[in-house]
Amino acid sequence: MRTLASLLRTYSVGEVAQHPWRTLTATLTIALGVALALAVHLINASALAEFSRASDQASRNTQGLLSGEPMWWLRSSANAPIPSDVLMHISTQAGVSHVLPVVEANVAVRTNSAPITVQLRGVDALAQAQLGLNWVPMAHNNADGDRLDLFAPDAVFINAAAANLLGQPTPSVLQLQVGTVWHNLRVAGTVKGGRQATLVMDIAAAQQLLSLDDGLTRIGINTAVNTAQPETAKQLMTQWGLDASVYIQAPEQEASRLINMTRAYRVNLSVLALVALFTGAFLVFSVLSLSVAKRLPQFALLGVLGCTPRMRMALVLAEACVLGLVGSLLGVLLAIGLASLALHVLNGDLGGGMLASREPVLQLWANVGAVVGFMALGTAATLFGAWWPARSVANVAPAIAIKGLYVEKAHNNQQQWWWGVALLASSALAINAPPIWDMPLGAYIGIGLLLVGGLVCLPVVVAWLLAHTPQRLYQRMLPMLALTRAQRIPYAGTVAISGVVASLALAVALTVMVSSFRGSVTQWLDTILPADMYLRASAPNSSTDTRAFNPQFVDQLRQQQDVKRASIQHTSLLTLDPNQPQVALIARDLQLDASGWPLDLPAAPMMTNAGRVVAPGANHYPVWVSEALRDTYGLSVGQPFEQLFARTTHSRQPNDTSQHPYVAGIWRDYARQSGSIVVHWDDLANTNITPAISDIAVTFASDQEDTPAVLKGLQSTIRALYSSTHDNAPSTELNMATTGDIRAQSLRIFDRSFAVTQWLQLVAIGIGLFGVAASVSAQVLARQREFGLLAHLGLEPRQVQGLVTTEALLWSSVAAVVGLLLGLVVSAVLVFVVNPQSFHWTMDWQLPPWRLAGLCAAVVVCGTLTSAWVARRALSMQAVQTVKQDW
Amino acid sequence: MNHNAIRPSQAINRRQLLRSAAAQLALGAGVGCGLGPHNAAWAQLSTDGLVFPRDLGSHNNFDIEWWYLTGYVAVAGSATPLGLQVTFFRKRIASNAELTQQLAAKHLVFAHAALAIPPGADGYTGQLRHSQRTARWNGHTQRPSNVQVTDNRAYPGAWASTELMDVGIANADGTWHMSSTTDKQFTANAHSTGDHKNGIHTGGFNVSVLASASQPPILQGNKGLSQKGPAQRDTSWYTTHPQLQLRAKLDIDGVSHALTGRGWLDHEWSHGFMPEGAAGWDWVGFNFDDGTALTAFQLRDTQQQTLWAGGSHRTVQGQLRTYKPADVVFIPGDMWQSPRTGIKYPVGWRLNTPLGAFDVQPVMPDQELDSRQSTGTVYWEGLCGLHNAQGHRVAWGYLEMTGYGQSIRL
Repeated sequence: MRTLASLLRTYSVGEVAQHPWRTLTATLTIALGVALALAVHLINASALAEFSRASDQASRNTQGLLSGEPMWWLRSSANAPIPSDVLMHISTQAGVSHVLPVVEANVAVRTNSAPITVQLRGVDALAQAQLGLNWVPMAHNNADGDRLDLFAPDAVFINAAAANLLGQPTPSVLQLQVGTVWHNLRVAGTVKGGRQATLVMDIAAAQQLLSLDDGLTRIGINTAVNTAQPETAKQLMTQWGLDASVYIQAPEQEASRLINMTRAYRVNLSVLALVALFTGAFLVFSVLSLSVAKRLPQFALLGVLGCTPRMRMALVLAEACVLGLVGSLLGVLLAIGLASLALHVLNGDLGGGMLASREPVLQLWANVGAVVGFMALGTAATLFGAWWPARSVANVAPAIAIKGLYVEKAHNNQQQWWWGVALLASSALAINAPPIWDMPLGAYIGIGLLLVGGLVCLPVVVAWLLAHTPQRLYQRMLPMLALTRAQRIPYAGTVAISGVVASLALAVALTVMVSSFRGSVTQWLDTILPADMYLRASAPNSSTDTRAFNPQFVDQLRQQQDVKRASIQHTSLLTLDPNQPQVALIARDLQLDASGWPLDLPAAPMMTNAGRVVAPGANHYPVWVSEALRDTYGLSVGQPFEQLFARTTHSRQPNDTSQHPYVAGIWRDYARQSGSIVVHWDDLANTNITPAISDIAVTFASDQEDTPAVLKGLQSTIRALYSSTHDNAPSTELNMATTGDIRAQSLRIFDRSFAVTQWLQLVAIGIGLFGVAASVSAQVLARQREFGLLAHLGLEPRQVQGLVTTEALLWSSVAAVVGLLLGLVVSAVLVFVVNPQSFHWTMDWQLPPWRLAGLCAAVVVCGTLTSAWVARRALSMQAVQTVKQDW
Repeated sequence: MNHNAIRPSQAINRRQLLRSAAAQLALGAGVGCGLGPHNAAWAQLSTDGLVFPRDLGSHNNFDIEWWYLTGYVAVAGSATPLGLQVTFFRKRIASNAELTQQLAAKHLVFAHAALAIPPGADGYTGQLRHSQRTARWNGHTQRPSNVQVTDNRAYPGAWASTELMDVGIANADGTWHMSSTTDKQFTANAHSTGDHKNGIHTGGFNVSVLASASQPPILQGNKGLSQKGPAQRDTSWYTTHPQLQLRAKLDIDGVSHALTGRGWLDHEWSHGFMPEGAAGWDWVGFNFDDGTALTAFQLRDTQQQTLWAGGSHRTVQGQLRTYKPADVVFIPGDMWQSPRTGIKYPVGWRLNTPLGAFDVQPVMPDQELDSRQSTGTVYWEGLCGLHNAQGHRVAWGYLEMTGYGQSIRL
């Protein structure tokens, strides 16, 4: 052990001092990989901790905590207000210690400037005070302050986020829009709590203001039972005799719901970050292999001096270990910096939009385990890269190598071939494994095995390629020299390009995946947007932010000369399972084609040839569910959809005469990741949900309306119509978007959310090219003696440089071909396995030929040019002296 | 007489009415003469006279109303009785009058319960226990049928009756109430499971009182309309049931006591009677051992000078004398400073009345009630002995002092 330490101190440190840049590159690669992976983890963990905090506080009862959060929330299943009778009913149930009625809505608020949207929260200050100080309004502590303002109908209390939005100084009066009317309200004080901009007022006053009568948005409940488990929530529902129009949610469920909702996104982002680390391992492989190859005579000397093969191997691994630890440590520091920056600038989900409106604090201490874990992962990746070089040092024959005559042993290609095949076979198995915890872990492992297997097979592939090289190329000197060397020492070349093959493969895979996705989304948009223009009205007093259209408006719209068709749509959110995100319920006047499939509804791939689906029995109506819903609720075509029935019927009897929904088909919905249900308008009207017109699709009578002037005229006509049929509502409430606008905006959002992906892709390629440069320089230096011989034989320095460049061209081309092939396979795995398993949507595999060609060309050109540049520096004798054999 | 008779007051801007005495003063000036609309209504009410038990009930059209049941019961081991009080307040929020919601806070109902346990009583070292409740009331919810003391409501709910005295608050810990079973018999219950809070016992007690009238009620002032200041509008409706026979069941820290004693019920309602410039008041109500009942009060300005005074005494023969301001003199004596709030109170008084000159001496100095969580004020209200010129105790009763920390706002 001591020998190993002293060898490390003397021998290895000397090597590092001689080639600081090379070592630094490898270290930085590991650092970058660890940094990206850990940063993504920290950001997500901090964002999620924000939500778990609420549930941690739910188990307290007597302590005067700030939280203001009850143990349970009782909510409405279908976004309808909860009657206050439910409040009184629960209030008298045994074991209930506190109940807390809450009314909530998003409203527009203005002072002097343009309106902003805030949340209006109606609370009972007295009941709220029992649960902690948060959300308890505090009257201004001055002459105007009055405790009774807590109950005044014209007083609101402002939280810090809202005060921020409204600007300094905090206004004393403001206007709040409900429907079409602006109400004057006094800012009578402040309220603690809420990261979202919120105004708090008395509950009854809020009910009056929002025309809710006695309706409530949700009811907080504390029970004597101190454990807020989802199972307990179900028991309470039964115990209190509540029907399916409401459900009880434990605080953890809010968090678990969110975790479910964002898990796929988080995991995929983490895997993407690990790609950088994975590529780093290949680079370590390159750097260490070459460093070892160059030092073989020295290792041989060590062997002669009594260093056992085991110890030599341990020395290389120890070097790698130090390198890995230093790199990982750097990576951790970088990750902390990146994560705090990202939490400041972006939201907790890196722009995914799912954790919006919360600004989490970096949770470093809670994630010490993860920090250690990622450091270990970084070191493990380094050791993984060092394994083969270490083996080769152990296997060296000292007697030959000490004379500097050691040439790569003719590798047992046969054995390596089998290794590769075994890896590829296990990769195929892993890829076909079912998802674990709703995540495509098998597929990710399979991708890793595929890349390693592909690289192991690389010499074999190279041999095959060389065997099929046109003999013509051997006529010319430089290609002949390069090809012959490649034939004799395929291993050296493999080492040089392994990093770039891995990174190119991943870049190709991601490029193909993103372009397949984008292509599929584009086609999907074409199908889902058959009309020319879409209308939606926003009303600030509704929790869904959408104002229902007056049917009269639709009638008059249809009578317009320029309007050929106006189709109505109902959209609302429905809670099928409190543990899962809400699903979208969409009702339309569906037109079915000959096979019974709704027009304008993009079918999932398996549905296209499915034929007509028959209802499972009488009293059944068809619904079409998205792929996500099918996977989440285990639905199959032709089967009844009992969860939907339970939520949409008044009756709790299973054998009554109500209409039951059944799954008539699976459709592809890229817009709603949590799932969606499409149903006939009339079928929805028969349930306990009353359809309201939330969207209108307008088809123009002729193509002429596409010209801006005509379109503008029509739009102002529609606006006027809207005002006159909606109690003179301001026509600005009406949002009109042409199909072109929606398409462009959707694709813009798409591109923005994949920006991170493309950035990581660039990093991976960059690291790969670093690897090429490091390998080439090392090789050139290692081959000083060979070049000397060539010079002796009459080759000019320019020709030697040409030889190196030709070799680089050759190897870069091999790297491009192999990387492309591996990348295409990986992309297929991403498209056909990873996406359906983690996001529950399918897409068509689409190749972007020019972008792929560009990527490959970039690798060839950059690889060759880097090599040429490195070779030129390395071959100049002066340079050799000045850079001490380091590029 | 029905309550519609006082509707004209609603014509006035309710919020202004609500605000404070100062706002009311401005209003009076605006109307032009001393007799504003609501005074006109009051005058009409006074000609009808008060009717019991109806006028023991809630007067929802008045801004402020309170029911004060105080008493003292003999305890073993102590020459000093134990003091108890259960009080309910109703505060109208006029600005919510138009709301139709079930949860509308048209009124707030506050309740207090306090025990003054003198040193030596059954081994206690002398302590004050105090608990309070608050709930919103929509103005029409009545007592839930068959409500039991043990019935709890996780959503705090208040009720009050306009037909008789029946006011209560139910919450997760059970029900507090004060009721009249007949116009001569009253019950009250309050209890608390709370613990120490800010150096005060907030719990560990359960008090149930059955009070029977041994004398008819006293209509204070002019047939119940009691003058509290120089202006005609500085008035309140004020009735007193003195010399009540008390049977009390007291549980203190789980130990049950069945005790008897005497009590005093005050019922007062108004729109805010404080005269201009008043900061607070001192009030006493004493049951003489011989059956005489003495009421005395003064209103002070911020300089602690007397703005107005009044009161009455009724002998056991039933002769009632209503005092004029000059009849009553309060002279502060011993001062006591609260260790919790730092407020100084004159807990001993020299009291000159037409009935004689007396010394007011508390059974213990610390009977300060911090009700910032409910009514929003800090005041002193506690059991005192009344001593005559010879130094003999002749009566037990309660002393109330408000406005010593901050000016009181009704």
